[in-house]
Amino acid sequence: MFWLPVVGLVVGVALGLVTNITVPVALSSYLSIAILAALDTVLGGIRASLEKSFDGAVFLTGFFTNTLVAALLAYIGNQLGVDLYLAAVVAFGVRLFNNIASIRRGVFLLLRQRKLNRENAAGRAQL
Amino acid sequence: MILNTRTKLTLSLTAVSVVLGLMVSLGYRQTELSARLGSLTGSLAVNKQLTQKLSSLQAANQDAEQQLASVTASLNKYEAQSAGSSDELKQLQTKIQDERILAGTTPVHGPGVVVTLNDAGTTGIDIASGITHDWNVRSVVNELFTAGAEAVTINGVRVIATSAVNCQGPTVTVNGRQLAAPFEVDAIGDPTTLKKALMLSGGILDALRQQGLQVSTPQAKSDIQMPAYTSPLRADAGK
Repeated sequence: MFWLPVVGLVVGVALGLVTNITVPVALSSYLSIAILAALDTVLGGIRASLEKSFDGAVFLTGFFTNTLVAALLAYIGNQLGVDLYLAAVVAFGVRLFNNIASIRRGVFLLLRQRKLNRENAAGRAQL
Repeated sequence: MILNTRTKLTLSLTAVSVVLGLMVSLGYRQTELSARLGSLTGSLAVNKQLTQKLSSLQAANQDAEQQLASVTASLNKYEAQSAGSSDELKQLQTKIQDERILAGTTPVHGPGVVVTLNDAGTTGIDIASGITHDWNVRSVVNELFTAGAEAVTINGVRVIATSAVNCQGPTVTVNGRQLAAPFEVDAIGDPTTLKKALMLSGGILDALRQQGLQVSTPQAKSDIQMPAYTSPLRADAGK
């Protein structure tokens, strides 16, 4: 089951490369912000699943609202002449690193737990 | 149907991954496209291309102006021929020719004066006053017209009724053409009158010399050649 999201990612990339969809140049900066937000949400979802606090509804709504809000923020910044998209870049960048760190820690804990369980099982078998 | 958490997790991650992958590939293609267009980088190749385009346009412009001049010359010739022997027509012809000379739409030659204005040398004068400004050139042109000049050129650019002599950074534009010092102002008219008007003591040239500019003594010439005004003539508002 773990490979299904990876397959989805590949399908998405292929879809984008094969079809002839282009984003207007004026919107390309919003697209990059949206990508950052989406990436952050996906990593957040993986982290939540490791911490056993995953909620499908929260995850899906978070993905779309984060993406849209990030693009909206960049748009408002453009209208005001403030580089507000930098705020989004910094915020999502920090969260990205936090999520990656948490995932790393979570994976370590998981591996250690399994090792401990195996040792326990082996110890009980010896007794 | 109740899905367990594991399945839900996988399904939603998959759905989100598809969207994320789509956006990533779109963004990638966008970046590639703009790099190829050079719209973001302003690459050297694009600049070179634009420069080439500009110089070819300038060459085409020059060709077109020469063509216009030759067409105007032959038109004048045909007009003179068509007048034939009729006195009235000949009179009209002369009048038209005079009007054209004054309007600046035909090449003209005749006696006149030549004066050259140049920036001050490195004599430690205040930089701003040592530069030949647009108003300096303009005041000389005004003086010449006041003294009865019929046609005036600045560095070979004909000054007509709608010509503006104005400042554009370090250069002076006349009829939309950028000119730089030294400015050679030619005027066709009565050489003695024009020369006297310029050389009036305390007059315009003295004032410019006072400012620090290098101003030549006006030279009387027996025959000055002047090109026609070649930019489009428009009179949209006037009736």
